[in-house]
Amino acid sequence: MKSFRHGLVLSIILLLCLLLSGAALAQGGNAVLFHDNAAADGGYSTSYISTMLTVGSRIYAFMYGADSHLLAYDTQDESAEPQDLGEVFSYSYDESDPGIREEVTAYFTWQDQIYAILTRYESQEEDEEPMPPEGGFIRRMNLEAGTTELLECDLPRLDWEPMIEGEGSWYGIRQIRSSFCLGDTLVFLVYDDSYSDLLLFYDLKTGRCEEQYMQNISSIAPGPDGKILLCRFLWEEADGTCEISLFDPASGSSEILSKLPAASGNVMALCFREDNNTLYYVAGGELRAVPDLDFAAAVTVNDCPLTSNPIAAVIPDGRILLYDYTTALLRTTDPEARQEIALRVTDYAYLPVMDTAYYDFIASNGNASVIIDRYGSDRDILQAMMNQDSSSDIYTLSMSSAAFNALYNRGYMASLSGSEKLTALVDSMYPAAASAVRKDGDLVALPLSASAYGLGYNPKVLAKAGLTEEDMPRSWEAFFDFLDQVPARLEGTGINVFPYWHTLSDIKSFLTTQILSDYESYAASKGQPVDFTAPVLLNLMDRVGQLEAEPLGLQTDLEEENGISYEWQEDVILLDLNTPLTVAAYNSEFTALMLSLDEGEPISGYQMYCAFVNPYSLHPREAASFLEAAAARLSRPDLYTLSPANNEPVRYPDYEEYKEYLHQSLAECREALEKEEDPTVRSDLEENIASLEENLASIDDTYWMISPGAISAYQARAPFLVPASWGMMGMARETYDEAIWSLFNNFAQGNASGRELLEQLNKKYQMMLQEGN
Amino acid sequence: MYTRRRSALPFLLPGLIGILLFYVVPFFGGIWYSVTDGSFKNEFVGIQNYISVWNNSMFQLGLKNTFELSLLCSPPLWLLSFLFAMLLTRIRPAGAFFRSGVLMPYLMPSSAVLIVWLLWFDYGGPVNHLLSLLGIPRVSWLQGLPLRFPVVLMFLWKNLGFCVVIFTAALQAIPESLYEYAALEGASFRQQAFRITLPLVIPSAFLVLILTWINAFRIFKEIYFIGGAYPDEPLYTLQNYMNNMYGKLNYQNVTTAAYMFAVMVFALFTLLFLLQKRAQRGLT
Repeated sequence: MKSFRHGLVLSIILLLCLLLSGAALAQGGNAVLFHDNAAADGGYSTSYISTMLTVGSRIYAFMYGADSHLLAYDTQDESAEPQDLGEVFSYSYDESDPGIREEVTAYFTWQDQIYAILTRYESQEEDEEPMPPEGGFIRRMNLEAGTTELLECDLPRLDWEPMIEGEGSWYGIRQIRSSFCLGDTLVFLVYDDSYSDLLLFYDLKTGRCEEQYMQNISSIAPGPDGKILLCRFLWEEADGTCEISLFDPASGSSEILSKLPAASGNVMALCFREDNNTLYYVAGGELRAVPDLDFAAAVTVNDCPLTSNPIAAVIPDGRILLYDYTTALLRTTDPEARQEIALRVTDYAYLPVMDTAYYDFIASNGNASVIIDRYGSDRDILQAMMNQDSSSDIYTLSMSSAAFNALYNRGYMASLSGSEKLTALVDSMYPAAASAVRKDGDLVALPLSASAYGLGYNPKVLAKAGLTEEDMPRSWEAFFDFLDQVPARLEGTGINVFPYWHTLSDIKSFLTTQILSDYESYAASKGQPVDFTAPVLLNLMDRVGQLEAEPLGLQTDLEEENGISYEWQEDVILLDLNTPLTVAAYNSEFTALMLSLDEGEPISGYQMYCAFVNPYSLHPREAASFLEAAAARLSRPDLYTLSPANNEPVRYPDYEEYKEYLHQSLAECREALEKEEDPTVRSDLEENIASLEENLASIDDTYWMISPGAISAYQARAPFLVPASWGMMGMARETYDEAIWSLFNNFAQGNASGRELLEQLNKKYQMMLQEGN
Repeated sequence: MYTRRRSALPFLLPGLIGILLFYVVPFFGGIWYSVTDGSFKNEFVGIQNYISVWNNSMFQLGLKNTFELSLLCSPPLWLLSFLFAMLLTRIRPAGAFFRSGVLMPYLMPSSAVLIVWLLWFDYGGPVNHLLSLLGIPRVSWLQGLPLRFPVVLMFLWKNLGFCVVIFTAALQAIPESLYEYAALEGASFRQQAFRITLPLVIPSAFLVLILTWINAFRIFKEIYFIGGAYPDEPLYTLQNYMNNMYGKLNYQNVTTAAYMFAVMVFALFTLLFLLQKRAQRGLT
């Protein structure tokens, strides 16, 4: 009985040990370690990832930007906040000689330690010959003490000569695109002086370097048996091809593993996991596994939303670390841990909000993964619909594209009316946008982005020219009268009517396409048939044709070919061609100028990008839920453009920091001025102080991402902005139809009259109409 | 005979399966599209699509232009290739070199060649320059009806080699002894041409005619490069119509137009086949 009990206890202990060891070996799940969303909201990041290194179960992230610091993530507990190990050494000046500056060129891991390679730059006097920097000094990071302190170490200095670029008049250090250790060899991928790829192999025991020249390398990673995995993009092959090969540094030979068509997505983030002899890579929004390097057996194991050439590394529990400048993710490769639902978003409109929605959606739907695919063309969507393909759940398209028009007309968009959140958002939008995405009262698409750029004038320059807002034209006819008269008013002021780098044909092309686009939007909004030979257009095209280069201060095409040089000058341009008509994420110095075709109100079109759910989707509810996540994360400029309910002005994200910086700089300058006796330096300081004071005085009025003035000005013109739908100009833009653009070019270059252009366009348009839908 | 047929089946089967899967099934499957409304609900509409496509002015224009262009392209190509083949069979020993030479345009990518042709026929290009030298007014070759001329020329230039090869093979397959025997019997050149050459070449000539006609029906790439989706009216073909309809996701109209055209082509080739049989009987 006793022996039975002992046996039972022993068995239980053994079972517990097995379970615990299994749990220790098991992979964790997907995790988002770091994600900065500022850029998607129209702002910009103030902190970004420079490098990530793995040591044991910890991942170290070198953060740069507003403050440089090192974050340590525990991969066994991702829910815990990362430990901030303090400021990362980036550069310092020699205490004995301030002309010598030491910088960190790279960090790397070797034998569970983090090392830094330093380069020493010596500043030169103007008349001295530049000297190449010295470098290759290795320091070890004091991780045992939990600090970022760099200590002297036993590793020899690296032969730094191959890393030095330039000669004679300047020197620099080659930028390291990728680095890792293969045994005792440190491998760098850099560009050589002629932008060919150069692989450098450093023996960490001796510091000696060997070089290997390559071509078209897009990424490298440590492979099996001391070899290196290479991904090359073969530009010369039709439609592009990514070649993945295994390079043996010992023999210098390469073995091609596979050639993948670039159409299925650029191959990025190569990495190799030794314990299961599997290669992983990212393409088309997917993390794919290639067991035993056999590409025929490749399978998708997870999603990866990173598109900015992410870097990958395998962490000890077998998961893949993927990171780019703004995001760091852990992705499991365990087939058992795969999500039940895999949504696919085919985002041919390249909408950043889809990336933002991704993080919110997976945070609230642990059982789903989302593959965001951006490789392909609108025609693929038509083909998919013909095949009743359910593989993609959500599509995004421009509303003015042929594909959107076709799918909308034929009802190939699933109803979104069941979602209260989406319906509420669309109901809150301007009527033109809201009605464009409804079909027979049913909500079928979600507007996610809208933008338009066109004519604008600079009020400051206007005042400088002695003109007032009242002098600005309200119609296209008046605009051409204005162009006839304004050169005389500007004589001797140094002001240019248009940006001075444009040629006459640039201006003619711009005005032609703008007038015709406005006309199409006007006709659509009034429900009138389009006739490009309408008298109003014939007259306006005549006016465009009559424009001359000299009075408007424009270059002729011939002058441009001969290369006229010009210097950038501020506040000398009266009219701009690229002023945002919608709400933009910056404070433009130009005011939008919308012009009417007749005596009525001016009507202009804007590009609207929409998402819709595939009617054949197997996960329509989840797809709608993903769109709800996107709707909740519309960027401020898009939200303000689409919906009148938003009136709150938005500051730039670094407003407070910038203000603080100005105060601090001002205080430093004032302090320096008190101590300074040299009249030249004092004069410089006084100038700086005046400039800083001016900036400080105006910062509250000017430092806006979306200013109160921009909002009110937009809201005044918003009722006259309509989403551009499929038409002649949409077709010309989308298909780059050579025949149509050559008509425009001939007209802009004076080889055809306005009447000829319009008659040709009208013929094509009438053919389009007669074909029917 | 039965055994031979049975033993041939395994060899034929892979090809037959391919034809069945990739030609026969889609051909009949496409009929379904042509009788539905093309919306997501895909409702049955009978022959309504056939009626609306037939009445569509752009379909009619495309059909008319396609037949006109094929008539402008096929007979000259057929005749030219026969003459070239005759010539090449006479040239010895350099005939093989020239036969390879005439095939070169067939192998060249249309887009690259088209740029050269467009330069030639530009308003200020060499063709107009030549006309000016001859005292003939210059022509806007790249607009309207004259645009057909470079298109037809390019078709001839591109397809000539292929047809010449077929004709040459047919001419070379005629045993020389037949001509020697006929000459001994006192047959004249005309009698040899009509009693020996023509009857033996007619099957190949018919094949060339069919192939050139089919190729002429498919002229599209060159027109699309020049005129885009909506070229000048004289160049708008059925292929433009079908391509534009596909872009509008209207595969109902694409298939309807395709079947209507297929029926017309089938009728035309049946007629040609009957004429060929009759001509061959007459000559032999």
